[in-house]
Amino acid sequence: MKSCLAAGVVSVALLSTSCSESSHDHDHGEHDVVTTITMVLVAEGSTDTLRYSWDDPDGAGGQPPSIDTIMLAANTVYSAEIRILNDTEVPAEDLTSTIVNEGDQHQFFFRTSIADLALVAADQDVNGLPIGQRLRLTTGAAATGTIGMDLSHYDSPAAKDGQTPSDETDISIDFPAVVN
Amino acid sequence: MTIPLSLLLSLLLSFPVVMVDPHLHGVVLDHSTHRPLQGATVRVLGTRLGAITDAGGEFHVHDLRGDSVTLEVSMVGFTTQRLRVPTRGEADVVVDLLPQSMEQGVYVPTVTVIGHSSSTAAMPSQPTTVLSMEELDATRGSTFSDALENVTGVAVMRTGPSIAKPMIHGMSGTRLVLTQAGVAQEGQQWGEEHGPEIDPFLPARVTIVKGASGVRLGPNAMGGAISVDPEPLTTLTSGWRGEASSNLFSNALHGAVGGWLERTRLFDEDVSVRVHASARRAGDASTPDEVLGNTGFSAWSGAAQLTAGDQDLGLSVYGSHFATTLGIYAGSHLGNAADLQRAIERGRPSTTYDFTYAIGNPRQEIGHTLLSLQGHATLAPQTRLKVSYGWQQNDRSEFDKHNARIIGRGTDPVERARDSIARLQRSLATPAMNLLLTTYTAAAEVEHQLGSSIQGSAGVSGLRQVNDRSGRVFLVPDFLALGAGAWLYENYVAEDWSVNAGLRYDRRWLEALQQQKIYEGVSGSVGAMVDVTSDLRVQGNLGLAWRPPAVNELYSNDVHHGVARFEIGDSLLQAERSTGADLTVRWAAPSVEIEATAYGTWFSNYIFSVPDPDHPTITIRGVFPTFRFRQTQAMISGVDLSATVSVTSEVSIYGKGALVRGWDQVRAEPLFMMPADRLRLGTHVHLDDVLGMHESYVDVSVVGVRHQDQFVPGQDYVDPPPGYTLVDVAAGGIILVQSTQIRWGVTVRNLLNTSYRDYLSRYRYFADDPGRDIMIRFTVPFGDPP
Repeated sequence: MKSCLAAGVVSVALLSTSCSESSHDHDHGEHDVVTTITMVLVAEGSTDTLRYSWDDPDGAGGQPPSIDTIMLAANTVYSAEIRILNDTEVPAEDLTSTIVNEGDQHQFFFRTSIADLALVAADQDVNGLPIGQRLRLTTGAAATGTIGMDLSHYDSPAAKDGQTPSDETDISIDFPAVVN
Repeated sequence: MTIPLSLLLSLLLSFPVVMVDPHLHGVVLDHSTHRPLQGATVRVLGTRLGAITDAGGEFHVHDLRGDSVTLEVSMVGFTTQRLRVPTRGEADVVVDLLPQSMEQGVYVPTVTVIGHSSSTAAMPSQPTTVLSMEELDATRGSTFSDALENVTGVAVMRTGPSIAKPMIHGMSGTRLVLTQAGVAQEGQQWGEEHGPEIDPFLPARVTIVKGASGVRLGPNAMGGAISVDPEPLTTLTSGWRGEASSNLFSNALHGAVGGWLERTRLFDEDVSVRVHASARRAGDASTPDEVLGNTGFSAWSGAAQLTAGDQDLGLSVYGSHFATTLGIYAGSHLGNAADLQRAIERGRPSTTYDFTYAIGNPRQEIGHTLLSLQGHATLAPQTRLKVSYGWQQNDRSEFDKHNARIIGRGTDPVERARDSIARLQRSLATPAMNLLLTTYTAAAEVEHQLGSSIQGSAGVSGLRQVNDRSGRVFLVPDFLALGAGAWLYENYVAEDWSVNAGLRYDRRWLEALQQQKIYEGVSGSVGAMVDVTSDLRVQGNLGLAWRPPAVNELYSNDVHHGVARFEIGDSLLQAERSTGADLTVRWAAPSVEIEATAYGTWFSNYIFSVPDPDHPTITIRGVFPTFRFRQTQAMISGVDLSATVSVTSEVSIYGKGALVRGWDQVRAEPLFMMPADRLRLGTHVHLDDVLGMHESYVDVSVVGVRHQDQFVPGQDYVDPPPGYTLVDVAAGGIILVQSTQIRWGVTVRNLLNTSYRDYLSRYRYFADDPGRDIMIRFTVPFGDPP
């Protein structure tokens, strides 16, 4: 570490950097990673709970995610809930409540390739705009396709209008779906 | 019948009694050997006049005006010399006059070029541009790279107003070497949004070498080299002086101050020192239509230089620190590829931003510290030993705009809420990626002269580099790199031609992710320069160069948010190698100067990233296009052209153009991100004395940039933007205030406030380039005259 000595002697005032070759810490930070989205469905008039997961425990890249196929009955109304989990912690952390608590800065947008399937948000933020963490699915005739959801994050509640997705998508996933 | 103007002039001039002599004749000698120097560039400051010395070291400059002119004499390998020379009469002669050419009745100043060889990268026959401090003064912009943009064949890749990366002949980043104070700057060159960490205010001289410079600089110098050398600090004369400068820019309400102070012959010993400091702050830049949110930046820099000894034995110590905080355009940080597509379709930001100096996330915080020691010793007559040692540390932190969910831990709700706030605050202060790169370099070389006409150098160099990363973004790993190289080159100078040749071998060891890799390569060059007539010079070079794959090309494995891509490295990449050829013709007649360079570089194992549409990366944030680093055979060729015609002694018109073509020979398609064809046409009016000001000038130019039509449809998110035309205006000069020569300048870039997008701007997908920018510059010298 001769250079450190020289650096110190030559220009003490100018060189503020320490001569360490390793940076401050290797802690991976305070971020809570989303690894798993679970859709929990209950058909109207039923007590059976259906759970379908989109799971990518090793994060982006690496192993591809494991994705369940959502199985729905034809001509049925479901009430559904989306649970957002961090599987990298033991036990898994449920991040759903933080999204709901910041509901005025988030919104789920749904899309499906099945013509005869409706997905409608069943909850509201403090401004009366949909969040979409809870929703209602209404199926029609038998079909096969996909169900997708995008969670938009808004920098401020003013940017959310209930219809326009933001440029900052926190979550964007697709499930295969079968209605029969 | 037409008589050539020059002939007429020389007929007139051959009368010794004609004292109104617009013709200057001189000779440039090597101070240590007193041998004439061939190929030195002589320029008349404040004008576009100039000449190159012939085999006898002689030069002629025609069409001079005024009682005296300031000449600047520069040559690769020598310290640039500036001196004021009378054009008539004997008054105020600041240099020795040697009556060597009395037959013409012209005073011949002996321009003594001190034998301080500089750390330049060029072989004598390579196309080279030197930007003096005055030129840097006049072209200085927000970033260091702005001053390089006027050099023909150099383009600049921008990430907003604060990050600019030079590109020479279509090559940038890890295909160029930038040296500061003789030490190759080692930052995170692989990133398109990582600019060189150099203060634009540095009292320095910048040399741009176009073409492979591997023999002098080792691996990576494939496209060329940029060397930033501190102004030489003399130990011959005693005195103190300094300069204070200020730059103000209207677009981002950007203000900068800088200054330097030097004391030569401290305590009457062979010791001189100089210190430099500068600071700048810029708010959000604006396009003609809107504010680019979060594009402000701030920076400060300090440097100190100590030179001791003389020509025969001396040491120079240079230390600098550069620190900056850069805002990254808020609209460029997107969640996934679908967001980017939406932003492109909308064509403008989703939010209207208000101007502010505040810098939020995403942002970069960068510090670069350099310590350079350079020593020289004369071992024997005509043999010099030069040693250099460099230590540098590049500390880069990148902060993301918004963080994934954060929730508090704990059983009690209050405790949980407190924990959540604490975590949020820690999270905002924790970079998504921190890279600490420490590099040690050392070199020793012996410069020698064999007989009367061969000069050369032989040397060895070594490098040790450690990268330490932290954070959750994985674009480069921790690594340890070691390097060693040895070289030899010689230059033979004959009457009106010279040839040079050089060879270098380098080896690099890389240890990362439990893998050990060794790369090796040979750099070589052969060049020649011929003075066909006194007006016409032809020079050409052949060069071999190589580079080891960059660590991101080997190991990247993450979403590159700025480009919304998932980039996957390939740890089996081979070293990239190139063979380049260039030919430069320079014709410098009395009132016409034309320089044309044609070049071609053929690559084997050219490394680039290519989309893998069959394997998109599915993440919980959506689908990202996957890009993989691959290798191919490629070719980059082009033409640089510049011409100046003096219409009268005050007015000249000039043109500078550059064409670059990159071609992937395996896939038979154009290479990505090659600069679009560019032509600048302008007129320069130079007035010696007007309204009490000296060396005044007005320069009006129009730059036209063609649509980049060389692209692969569908490869990028959006096709290259249309071409554009901008008008730039500049004026400046010297005001005398009680014998202090205050240099001033006003430059208006994009005078007509045209909306445009440059193909090399990384914000081209979603925002226009900045609109009109009025820059005001002042430099006040003080202390003893130079």
